[in-house]
Amino acid sequence: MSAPARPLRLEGLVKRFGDHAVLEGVSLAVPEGEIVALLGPSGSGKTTLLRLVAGFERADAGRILLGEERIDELPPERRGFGMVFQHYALFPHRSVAGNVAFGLETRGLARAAIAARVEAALARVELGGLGGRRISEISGGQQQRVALARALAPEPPVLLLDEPLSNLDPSLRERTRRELAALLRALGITTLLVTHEQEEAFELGTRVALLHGGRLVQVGTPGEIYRAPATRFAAGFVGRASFVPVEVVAAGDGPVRVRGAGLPGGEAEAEAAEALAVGERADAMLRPEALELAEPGTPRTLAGEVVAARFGGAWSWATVRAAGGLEVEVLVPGPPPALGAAVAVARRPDARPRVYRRETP
Amino acid sequence: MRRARIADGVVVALLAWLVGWPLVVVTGAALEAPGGFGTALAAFAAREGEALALARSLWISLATVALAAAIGVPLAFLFARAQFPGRRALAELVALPVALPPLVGVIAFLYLWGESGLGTRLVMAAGGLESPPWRLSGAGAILVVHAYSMYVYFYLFTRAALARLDPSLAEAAASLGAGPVRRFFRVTLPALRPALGGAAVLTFLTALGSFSAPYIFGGSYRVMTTQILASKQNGDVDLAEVETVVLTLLALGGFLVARRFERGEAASRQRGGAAARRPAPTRGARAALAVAGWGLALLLLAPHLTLGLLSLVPRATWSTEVLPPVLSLDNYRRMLGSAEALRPVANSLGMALAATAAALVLGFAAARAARRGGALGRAADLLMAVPAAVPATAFAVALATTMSVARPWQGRFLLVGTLVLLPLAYLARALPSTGRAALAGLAQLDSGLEEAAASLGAGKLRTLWAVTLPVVRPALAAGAMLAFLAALGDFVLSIVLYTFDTRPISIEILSSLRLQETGLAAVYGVLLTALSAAVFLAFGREREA
Repeated sequence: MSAPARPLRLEGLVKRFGDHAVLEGVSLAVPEGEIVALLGPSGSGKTTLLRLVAGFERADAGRILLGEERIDELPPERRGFGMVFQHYALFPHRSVAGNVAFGLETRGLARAAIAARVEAALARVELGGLGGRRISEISGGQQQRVALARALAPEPPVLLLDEPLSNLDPSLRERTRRELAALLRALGITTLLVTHEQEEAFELGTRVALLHGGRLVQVGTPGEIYRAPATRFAAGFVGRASFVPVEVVAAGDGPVRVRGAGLPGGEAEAEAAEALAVGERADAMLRPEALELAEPGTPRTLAGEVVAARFGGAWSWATVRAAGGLEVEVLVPGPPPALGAAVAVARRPDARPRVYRRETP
Repeated sequence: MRRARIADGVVVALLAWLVGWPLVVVTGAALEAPGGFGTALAAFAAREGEALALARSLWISLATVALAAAIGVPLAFLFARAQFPGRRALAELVALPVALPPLVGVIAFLYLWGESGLGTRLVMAAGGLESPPWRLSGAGAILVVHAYSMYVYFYLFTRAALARLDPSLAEAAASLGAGPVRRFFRVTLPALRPALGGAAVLTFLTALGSFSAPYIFGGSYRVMTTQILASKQNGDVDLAEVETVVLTLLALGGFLVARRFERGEAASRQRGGAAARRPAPTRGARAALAVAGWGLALLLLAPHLTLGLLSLVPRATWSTEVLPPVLSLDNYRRMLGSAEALRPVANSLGMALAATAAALVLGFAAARAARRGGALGRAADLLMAVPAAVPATAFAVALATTMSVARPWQGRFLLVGTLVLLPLAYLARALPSTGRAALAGLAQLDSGLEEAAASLGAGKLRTLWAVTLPVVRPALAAGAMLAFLAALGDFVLSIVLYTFDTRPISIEILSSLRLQETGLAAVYGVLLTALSAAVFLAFGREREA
């Protein structure tokens, strides 16, 4: 359906606005047909990166390649990428069909061919028959799909999506996300997507590229990033996590041993995310599902009090505050314990904490 | 609620009397012309001068729209999109002519490019010419002056629309393969269409009602507005009334078109991102843009600068020299030293203040009535906007016709020749400014605010005073500023309705000019310009803060 998918490669991209470096050397390969989600907090540079690829900004250093062709010196209109904007940027003076036709007109297609492809593009996003509507006459969800149809109609080699779902109501967002994921996979189009929402990145992206402070922190499948976050930032940004201060008591080639008063069980074998020496202070990261609640007084547990709880159906989350103010989050089956209840937190036997060097303040 | 509706009824009745009734009376008078309106109209159409004046009015107005767009639109792009030193200050300054009284602009233009104008003399000296290379009269002169002052509508409308324009529209077009030229013609320009349409209609109406330029430069080239005054001054009142009705109908047609454009623009208004202002890429380009920006601004403001210079030229000291040989504050001393010469200034200030204050109260009441809706609300909404549509000359004639007899049971009083009539006319002309401003202010007022005040125990008056007015105040101030400036510099209403005791600054400028007192006329012009510019710029700063 679309033009032959081609891989996209970013090499050492640097972008400064004045003295402020927004991107500090980002390299990323998007193999053909793959959907990479650029995930990061606001200010991490993800939108700037997308705009560099689209051609709306020029990189101060680095290269962008599509297949073997270097494209970073081309103006946006000669890159031929499809883009969906955060606020859709639909032309208010054109009808729905007129918007979708725009990119086909610039390619100089014949009228009949344009009409047929507009019809097909609208049908693909389930907007068949709405071509004659004005943009102001359709709903926000429909506008989002028009924007998608408009970007896809010229069959671009690469699709760029800038927070494509952020303007939708939460109830609509989930459904649209599912439809978008299905559509992208069916088309097999090389896609770069910007989002600040983890759920969006995990559902839409075949791979996730985590950005922080203008640098790529980690690139991997959602599972890889969740199970083995590369940095303490990644661990805290993706998924829920508690951090417990520990000290390294034994280190070798493989796992390290750490000890800490706040660590349920006192001492544990842990995965080191970075090289650590004996005696070094570190933070041990524990996912809520790595912990469980036990009867107060159980040996090798952390005693505390439930200070917050969230009901989640079959599972609930409880935040437990231990002596010294340390708080850990625990996944518990069924309803959560009562607020103020005295509890003990144990570590599941198969769960291995992951440790990161303590950031010295 | 019931009491509010009664108050609305009083407001609408007052508006109808002040704004609607004179138009009805003058139309009635035209209909009662010997043989009925049809005959009068046929006679009107048959007279060569009349049809010609009408055709000229239309032609001049359309040509003005084209010229004003040709200046205003590129200027807006330059100031909205380019980046160069002094851009912000110049962008405000270039909009200044909109706040300056038209008569002063016309006089200033005369002083610069007229037969013995400063610019003309400089051109003659530079080219070694014996006689002026052009004559500032007739249609050409009117058009040039119109373009010079009315480009501001296109400039302001386009600039505002560009600021609102979502920059990602052009980016979306680029990502779909459209190059710069295609982006401009297929995306940017169509997106600006409602603003351009609004500016075009406003310019057309202003040019149609324009009086100062045709009056000063037209000579025997009569347009409808000058034709009306000529008929009236020749004592042909019946003809003046027919002309007034024809011009009013034409303007009201344009006004209805304008209202449609306004609705269209409101519908297409969209959330605006910060407009992408691309810095000029090179130092050379930056310098070129700066030169272009400053040069254009200087050219557009040159007439008013000339006015300032000529106010320093004492009477009868400048004959054939290229530049005035003597500069002094003599003219200022002569004006300030004489109670007689200060009288017009006091008149204008007093009448403008009184008219603005009254228009604020009436405009606010009308806006509240309009927001309450219903038939009364719609009537208030329409009536307060009408004076903006009717050319001032036409309205002045209508008012004079209505208030020239004492028939109180018909709502007609003998006000011609009294001190009241001119401020009353200013008040009517000020209503659209204050009324629209009040409407805009009330639209911002979250109705929850007044309900919150009521729930906290505030009565109606207290709510109005402590909640509503403070919220609406900035908008009201803007409307009051426009109303005050228009009344202060008014020439068109004044020349029809003034008496010796109410003669305003503009009339004094005209009589000084007739007495060859160019310096003194310039002093009055400078005074008006300075007052208007001070109010406008001070307010502009507040608006941005």
